[in-house]
Amino acid sequence: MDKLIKIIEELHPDVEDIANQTAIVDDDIIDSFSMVTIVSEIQETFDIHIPADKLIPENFNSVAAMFALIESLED
Amino acid sequence: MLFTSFEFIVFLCVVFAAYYLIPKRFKQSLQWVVLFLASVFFYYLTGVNNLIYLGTTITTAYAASMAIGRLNNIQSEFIAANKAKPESERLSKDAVKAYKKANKNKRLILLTLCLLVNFGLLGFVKLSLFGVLGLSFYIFRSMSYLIDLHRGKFSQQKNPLKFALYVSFFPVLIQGPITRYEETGIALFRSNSFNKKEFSFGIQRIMWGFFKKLVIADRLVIALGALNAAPETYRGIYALMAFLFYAIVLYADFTGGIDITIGVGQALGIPMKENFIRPFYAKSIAEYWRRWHITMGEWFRDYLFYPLSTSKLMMRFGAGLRKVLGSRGNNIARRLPVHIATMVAWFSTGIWHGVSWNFIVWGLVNGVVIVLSLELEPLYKRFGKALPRLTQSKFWLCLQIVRTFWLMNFIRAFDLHRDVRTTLSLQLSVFTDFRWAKFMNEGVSKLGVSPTEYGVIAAAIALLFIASYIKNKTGGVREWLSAKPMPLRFTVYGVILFGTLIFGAYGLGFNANGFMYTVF
Repeated sequence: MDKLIKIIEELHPDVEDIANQTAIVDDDIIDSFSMVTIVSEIQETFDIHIPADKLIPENFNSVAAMFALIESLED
Repeated sequence: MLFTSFEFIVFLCVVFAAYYLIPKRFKQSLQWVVLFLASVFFYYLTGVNNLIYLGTTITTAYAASMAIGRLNNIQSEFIAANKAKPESERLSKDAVKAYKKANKNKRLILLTLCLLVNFGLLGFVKLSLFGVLGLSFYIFRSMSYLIDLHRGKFSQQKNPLKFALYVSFFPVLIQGPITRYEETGIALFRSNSFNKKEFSFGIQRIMWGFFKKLVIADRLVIALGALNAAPETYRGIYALMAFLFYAIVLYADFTGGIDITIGVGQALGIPMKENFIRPFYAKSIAEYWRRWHITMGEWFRDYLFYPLSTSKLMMRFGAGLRKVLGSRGNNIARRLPVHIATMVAWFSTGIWHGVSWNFIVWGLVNGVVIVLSLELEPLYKRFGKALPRLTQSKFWLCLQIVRTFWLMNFIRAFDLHRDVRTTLSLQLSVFTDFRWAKFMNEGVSKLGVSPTEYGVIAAAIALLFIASYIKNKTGGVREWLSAKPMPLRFTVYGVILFGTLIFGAYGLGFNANGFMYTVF
């Protein structure tokens, strides 16, 4: 989880307390460009492939949701 | 049969009557049949040959969907059977993974073949001189269905006629929105009882669509045509006027058509996704495209931009850049692959509109502006921090909206003139050959539209702004109106209905204009 928070904080240093946000996509904190940038970093760091159909707001609205997605793909 | 023709109104009345007069116990099994027959008849009237193209897409997509669906089912059964076995007899994780991969590859081959056939057909038609009404819309709709089926989002529709209805549902057939199966597919096949409120709201939305199309678009298009026909005469301020008129005409035309489409769907109890959310209030080009022709933008985002930007190919490209540039190039390695994917998506969006240089340039300019805005974002943020009072003011907001509106008008000119050289020359003339004297001398009097007609158009546009304001403040104009006293309500309905009947551009002396987006 810490690795993931670090990635997002590095990409979005201007967003306050990102770890506790619950509507990151729905509240337009990140757009589609930011989403794919985060995905690329996650793929690189965790050595997984996130299929395009997983790029939906529900999977990126919170750090917890992103982490759950990573775990499901690591299985 | 045009949406704005008398025949279409008669056709709708017959469809509504047949749809709702079916006895309750037969609704489930017959309502969708009414819609299917209505859709075939509707498309048949656009030309018998068109049915061949529609039939080709339906047949190939249905065949591929059945094969993909079967492979999905076989995989699910295989995994379930493996899980049901005692642990000692179960296949290893790696063996299951290998099985899934082999299955996925088979599905991918089927999907790719079907995509090639249909996009090949689309390319052939776009390169030829003849047009097929709505071809790109129903090909995009069927291909999104296939891709989502391949991704395992839903089970395949086994009934070929129901599948044909999903692809050819008449309100969305020729100019979208590009509906998704999980959004409208299910509603098409369920039984829908008559709901007075939904039906009434649907009819109101249809009336609003007629109003926009006939009173604004089809009147102002005459002046636009005159400006467009003589680009060597109408330069400078007239070019600006043409860009402005085109924005208004295209908005009233396209959103008017979509209002009719969504209104027909609502009257039938079939909800559809909105295709426009106040696009001219966008503060950037990227935001504009999240508000204009939304279903097309989402199609390219979900099926091209996302898969490409997160693909293994782009990952390898990013990793290669990191190696070459070292740790200093991290930011470039992270952003460049996404920018390339953005440009590919916009190039494809240009080609979708037409295989010609003007559309390619149009797409690429959109892409370049979006990429540049992303790269300049840190600068904007620094500026915002330095001048917080200014950048958080309403004045700044208005400035951003006006800037985006005019920037988009200049980009849209490539679509208006369909010729890159003419467009560039007219864009340049705004700065070098303004023709103010000509404008002061003759104004807009020689464009085939009388001062009274300009007045009608201006009043109708004002009504559009009022409706937009109410929608933004209350969430919905029809909901807001339905809570008002009956005299006010009926006055508004009367203004829209009689305004369209009296001031609409139709009847003697007018050629009924098709909707602009049907040609794509």
